[in-house]
Formats: sequence, structure tokens, C-alpha cells
Amino acid sequence: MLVLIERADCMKPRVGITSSVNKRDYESDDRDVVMLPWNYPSIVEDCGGIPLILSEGGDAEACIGAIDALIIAGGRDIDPATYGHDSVPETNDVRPSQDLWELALIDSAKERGLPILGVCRGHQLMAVSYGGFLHQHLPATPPYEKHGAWGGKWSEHEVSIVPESKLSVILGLSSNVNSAHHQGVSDPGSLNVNARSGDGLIEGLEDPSREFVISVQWHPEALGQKSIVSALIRAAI
Amino acid sequence: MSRPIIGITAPTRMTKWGPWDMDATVIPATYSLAVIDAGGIPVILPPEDDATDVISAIDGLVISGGPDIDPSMYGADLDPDTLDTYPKQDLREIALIKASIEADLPVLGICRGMQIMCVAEGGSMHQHLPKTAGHESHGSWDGAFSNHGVTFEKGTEIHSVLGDSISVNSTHHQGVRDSGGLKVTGRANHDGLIESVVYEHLKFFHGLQWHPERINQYQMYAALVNAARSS
Repeated sequence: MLVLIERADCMKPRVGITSSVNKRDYESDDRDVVMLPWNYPSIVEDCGGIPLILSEGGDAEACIGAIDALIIAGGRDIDPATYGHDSVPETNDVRPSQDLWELALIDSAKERGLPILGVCRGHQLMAVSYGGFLHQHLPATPPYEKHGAWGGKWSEHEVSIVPESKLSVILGLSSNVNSAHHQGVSDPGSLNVNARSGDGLIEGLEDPSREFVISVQWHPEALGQKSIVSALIRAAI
Repeated sequence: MSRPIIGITAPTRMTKWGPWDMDATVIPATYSLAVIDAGGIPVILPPEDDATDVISAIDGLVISGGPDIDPSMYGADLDPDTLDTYPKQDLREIALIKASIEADLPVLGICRGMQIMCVAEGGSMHQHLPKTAGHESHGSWDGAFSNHGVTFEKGTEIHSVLGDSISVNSTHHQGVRDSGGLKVTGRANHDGLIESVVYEHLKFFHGLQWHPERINQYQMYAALVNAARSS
């Protein structure tokens, strides 16, 4: 007999965070390992959620059934075929199986009405999910040449946040952010742009019809920007 | 609950990521693939998770393989051949094991996972098998595997799943000396070393010294998922 036990209302929200599969020397040489930077689960825990790292290949609907909020984390380039473009030489390390899995998670989370936060690659994937497109290599895309990480360090810049957007309620009208990406959103699809950098690049997106479907090009988890993650978790309760 | 949620313990280690060396939660993908093949949904449990919170969020648990257990966990002095211990990881996994027993949550322990199950229940370890007379050949722990047979005790649950005897992969330099409150259900054919244990009277609580997920031997993962499904 199947018995479904409802989780009590007082329990902490379960926050699913997507991970990446990469080749690493781990216990033995050159193995596929599931990875996620430590600061994602750490900031979720700090903001009162239970971090659960989702692993590629898990049935999307069942994954979404196991969580109360979804974070699509940063990571590798998205396969341009996903948005119907040819690949440029600078687009590298794509993993179409991960793209499809995360897009299915986004679809299923939207269907279930779960709050979603997209970070960096997750922001770009959110645009693709809503019919948008990407710049495949910003260093070759004037005037957006300066969003990368140099010498192992983040670059930093300010973003202007669109008044009366959902993001402005969380962060106000501007924020200093970290930056480490060579691709960017060129077309947000049916999402609203809620933030731009000084050079005009799209830095944040949101679905105005949802309580919390927001994405940002920067890394709140590495900045310790708890306000965004706390807002995600509040929306999950 | 047609696809139960199976938590997999994972450590945080300094790992190369893009231009950075950063702390990342990292775990071989074979565990997730085994859980998916068995019909479950894998979720990796970062070390930040609180044991009680986690138990409420999952239907079953895999305690994964990894580094040596700090000998202080079983009241022994540090042997010079015991390497790279992580006492915080030990304590965290022991807390998860105790909380799982309390909640009768189905658990499968793999390699280090089996060892720490035994330690959590009062057992102890051989700290270096290559110098433990009679148990010298369970290496190679430099990444390659050796193989040997394991025989299971008739009448046990693992015997009903895996039969009298199977061939397993072996890559460990420590082994269980005393299984504490757990019952030994399988031993290595060539030297009698403890290879599988069970906590009797729980729904599902098994430890295996080998790595079935690395040789596509998914039967015990399927048994875990089945037990989790009926939880």
C-alpha cells in the first residue's frame, strides 16, 4: 500500500539545485563526477532552506515533486542547437543532455508553480526556455567585451534594476555584482528584462505572471547576496 | 510514490572549476546512475545539510564511499597508514545513520559507507589491510580494482537478492574488524574479511564493502529503492 505522508507546514522548504557532470581526477583518473560549488548549498542553508543537489538524468517531474523551489546553477555553455543557432568556435564544453534535463526541470517547475531562480548559465537557460537567444562570445561582441573573469578573479560592475520589477523589490534600483561569463542573453524571449549593466547587457530576467521566476547573470551565492535566495525561499512557503 | 527520493551523501573538496580552485560538493556520477537505473530519483546531500532536515526530505539514503574514517571515532590511535581523514564528514555521516535508524529510513552503505555504519554502531576497523595478516589482498586503492568472490549467509535478505556467492570489485586498504551491533551477512571467499552487514529488524539497512555501482551490479540499489518506495 502506498502511503503519502504530507510534510508538515512548519518544515523547511526543500530547495533543489542543479549540478554539472564533469570529468575530474577523483579517487581515480578522469571520472564523471557530479559537481556543485559549495556556496550554493551553503547560502540555501543560511537562508533557511534544505539544499538538495539534483543530479542529471533524474526524471524531471519526479525531481520537481521532491522539492519546493528550484535553482538552475551556473556552469558550462548551452548547446546553440537548443535555441536553433549554429555553434561558434568559442562555444565549448557543451553537454546537450544537461541542457535538455534542465529545460525539462524548468518546464515542470513552471507547471507545478514552483519558484525558480536562474544563475548565470541558469539565467541564460531561462531565456532559452522562454524562446530567447544568446550571444555566444561576448569578448567578440561589442560593446559587451568586459564580462569575463581574469587571472582567476571575478570582474565587478554595477547593474541598474528596472523600477517596479520584482527584482527591484528585492535589491532596490542598483547593485554591484560579480561577473564571470563569456556568453550572454541577446533576446529574453517572453521574459521581462529587470536589470542591465552599464554597457546595456541583459543582467536579469523575470516572468511578471509568476510570484518568483527570476534569473540573474551574476552569482548571488558567491557574493553572499542572501536577499535573492531568501526571497526565493519565502516564495516556496 | 512511484519514484522514491534517494539521498546520496557527498563531501566538499577543493576542486578545479573554470578559472578557479574552489570548494565544491563532488561525487562520482555512478551513484546517481545506479539510483536512476533502480527507479529512484537521486539527490546529492551536501555536507551543510542538517541530519533531521534531510531525513524529512528523502525516502532512502546511500552512504557513499570515500576517505578513511578518523580512528578516534572508534576509540583507536591513528595508524601511520591511515590517510586523509575528515572528522567533520565522519560525524555528519554518523548523525545521518543514527537519524535513519531512528526513523527506520532505508539505507545502503557503500565501502566507507559500510565501514561507518559499523563504527556508528560500536564497531572498529583494520586500519591497513596490507599489513593485517591474512587480509593483505583487497587493494588496489590507487584507482584500479582487484576482484574476489563473496559468499552470503543463507536466510539473510542479501542472500535472497544476490544468491550464494558473487564476484565483486575491491579497492580498499581498510576493512571492518568488528561490525559492532550489525550482523555480518557476507565474507570474502579468500580470507573471510567482512564484506556485507545488516542491521536486523529494520526495513532495509545494508552495508557493502565493494562498489556495485561501478560494475553495473544494481540489484542492491533496486532493493533499496523498493524498500524506499514502500516506506
